[in-house]
Amino acid sequence: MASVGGSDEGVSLNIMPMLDIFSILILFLLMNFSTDPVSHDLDEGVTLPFSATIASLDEIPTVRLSKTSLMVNDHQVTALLDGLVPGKVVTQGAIIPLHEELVKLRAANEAIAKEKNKPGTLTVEIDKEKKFLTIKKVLLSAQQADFVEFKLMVEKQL
Amino acid sequence: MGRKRKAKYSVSDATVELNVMPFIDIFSLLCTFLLFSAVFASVGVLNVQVPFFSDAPSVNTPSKPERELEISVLVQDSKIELTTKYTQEPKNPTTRTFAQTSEGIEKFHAALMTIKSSNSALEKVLLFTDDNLIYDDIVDVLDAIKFVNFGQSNAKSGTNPGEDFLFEKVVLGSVLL
Repeated sequence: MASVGGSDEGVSLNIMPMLDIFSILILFLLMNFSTDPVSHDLDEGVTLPFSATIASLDEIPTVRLSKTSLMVNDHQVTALLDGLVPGKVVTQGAIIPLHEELVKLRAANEAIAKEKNKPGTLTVEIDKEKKFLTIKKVLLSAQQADFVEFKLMVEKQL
Repeated sequence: MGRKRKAKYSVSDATVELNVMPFIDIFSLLCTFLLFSAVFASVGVLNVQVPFFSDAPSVNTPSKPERELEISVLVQDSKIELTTKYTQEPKNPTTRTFAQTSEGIEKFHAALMTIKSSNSALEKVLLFTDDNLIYDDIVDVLDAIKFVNFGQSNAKSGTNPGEDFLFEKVVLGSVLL
């Protein structure tokens, strides 16, 4: 009858395949190790389009246009109705609450900036399915608050 | 004189095993650290401008040619119109139309490359887009305008398509319309 108890023969586990897998995994992870200056977690309501750009994100996005809402610095400015900005908050093509928030931001930036009256730059996170009709209102509101250069967030093609 | 006994370095029957446990420990910790810090979606940015009015005095640039080429692009649901004209007479306006498909965008990019090859100082393109166009489609056109090796894979071109600019400055003209 076979004995279940321990025998004198040592049982050794072959760990070489595991080491191989670990080595390959580490190589893969090191190759993909991000050295971007800013790491930003995307909003659940935002899917970014792919682009060939190599310019990395260098600041956290200020304005976020997701599927359901428009936000400035994680503060909801207005909810979107069927993906569009409600007409009651739009005047002459600009979104008034967004414009007011950006004017405050502009004033705060100027208070700490060395060069005043220089057109500002805004980083914008936009869902890839958003229509230009909505994007245009956001950009116009920002332009009225003296932000004329925009960094549109995209996903890099690796 | 005593006879010294030399140590024998002969191969013995006993097998020598390397202790790989510390190695595995380090690998495990490294794997965990790298997995936590891994960014699987790399985020980049595309720089664009909107038109603006300034009361600042104009800067005199004597080297700037008086008669220069202007490029404007109109993107609609199904087509892309590329218009070039000079700022002074004879303006010689020309318009070419491309389909709003991946092949059409590649042809559009090739046309821009031709314009750039004969006007190397040009950097600016005025972009007009239809209101119903989605952001994803606009980014495709922006890529075709901004980057030299657009549409080519990294392996084919030898460089990343985003490394060299074709027209670096894109102004979104329709924001004010």
